[in-house]
Amino acid sequence: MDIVGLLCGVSLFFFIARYTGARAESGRVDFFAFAVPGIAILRMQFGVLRSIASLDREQASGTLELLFAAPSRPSTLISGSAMYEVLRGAFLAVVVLAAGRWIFGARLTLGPRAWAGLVIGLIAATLFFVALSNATAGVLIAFKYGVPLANLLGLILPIVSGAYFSTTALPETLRHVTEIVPLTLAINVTRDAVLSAHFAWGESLFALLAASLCIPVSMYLVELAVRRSRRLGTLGQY
Amino acid sequence: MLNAESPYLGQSPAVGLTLDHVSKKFRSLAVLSDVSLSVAMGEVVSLVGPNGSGKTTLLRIIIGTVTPDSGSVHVAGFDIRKHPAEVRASVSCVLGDEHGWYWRLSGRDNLIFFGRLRGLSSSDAATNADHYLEKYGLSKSATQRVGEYSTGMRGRLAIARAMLSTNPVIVLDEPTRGLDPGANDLFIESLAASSDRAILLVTHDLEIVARISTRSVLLSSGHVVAELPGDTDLAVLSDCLKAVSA
Repeated sequence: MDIVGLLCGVSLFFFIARYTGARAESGRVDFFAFAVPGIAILRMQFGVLRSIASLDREQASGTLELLFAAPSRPSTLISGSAMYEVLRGAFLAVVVLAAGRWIFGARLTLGPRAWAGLVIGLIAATLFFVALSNATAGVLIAFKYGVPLANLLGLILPIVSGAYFSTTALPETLRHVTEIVPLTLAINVTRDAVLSAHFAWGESLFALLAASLCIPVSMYLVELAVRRSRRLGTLGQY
Repeated sequence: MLNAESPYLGQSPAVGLTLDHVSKKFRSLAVLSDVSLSVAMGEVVSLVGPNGSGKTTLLRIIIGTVTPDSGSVHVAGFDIRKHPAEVRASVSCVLGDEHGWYWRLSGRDNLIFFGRLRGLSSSDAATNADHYLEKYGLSKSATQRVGEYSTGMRGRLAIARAMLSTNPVIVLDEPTRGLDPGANDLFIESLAASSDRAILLVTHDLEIVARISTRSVLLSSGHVVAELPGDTDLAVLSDCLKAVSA
């Protein structure tokens, strides 16, 4: 079902590009080839949604309280749960790239010259989405609004991440903000790799560093949320 | 020689669970007020009281999912404020409802998961899971999804989960709810056999209290109002409970 859904998502962009004849990057690249790396990376977002939905069910059923009664740190449990779903999304991201190239004919370089940038981009995106999942889980635990937040982020991220169009199309103030978001950096690194087999050390390392820093911050947010819920006695409430 | 950092400082290792002057408020509602009690290793202490007296909150403080506002809690010698992870590793629980499962996993897989979460190795978790499934008459349903279990089966599985690891302290909130008489007897036998653990049992079933408890503690409106010896007559227990419920 995931694969079918994935192919439907890719084909939507394929036919939009075909119908509009749109081009990107000042006409140098066709829109579909430009969008495929973004579509691929955003697949991991579904991992966040699944992770939060699962956590929501666990909270409602009382399982979450039992998990937090175990010796493991809550942030470790939450991160572990998110990691599985996001890594699954990373695998599907590779499937999207492969489908874009070999089923839909996008002009992508997926050979060895692209691997360095592709791997760095996927790792950075994975770290970012795990951190995002942790932070959303913190909101779920503390305020019980994790699912609506995850859904909202699902609508905002495609706009601000440069997934489907360059961030140069955004208003200037917003552009400056989005250009330092680890997700935008990860998509740019991946796109450079698969469109032109280009690997920029500086940008890649910065993407990795920025995404890595999000992890401890998000884990701290989870610990704060659990601490708050323990104090208020709401850990077992839904 | 004990050093200043020893978690056993001031505590006899024979005391499994100690609460000293524990209080808890939720917003302006005082749920627990200055509650002190202890459960020694080998004891089964029953905590009884009317609905809303704070029993479940007390259990949640012990297992670490609610933080007390004041007072101290020591579990197996560990202070809950200074060594929360050690406390959580020392206590297992039944929280009194049949939820808290992964419904799509089998009973066996659930037990193995929670056993691993409590630090058991894969093989120990599997062995212990099989043992307790057999003990509580769930072997035939071991591979069935928990979502297909009856209320009583989930109740038995919850007790199996609490007994699974070798935690020195067990807290049980209404563990016999939904159990048939046979399962009830099995549960009482398990408690009797757990002479190496400190057990705190919350129950409204005074027959179990009379049969198994070494002591009973009466809680009412967040206060400990009485402690009764284990050989207290069932009728006396019932009268005391009615008196505090009035």
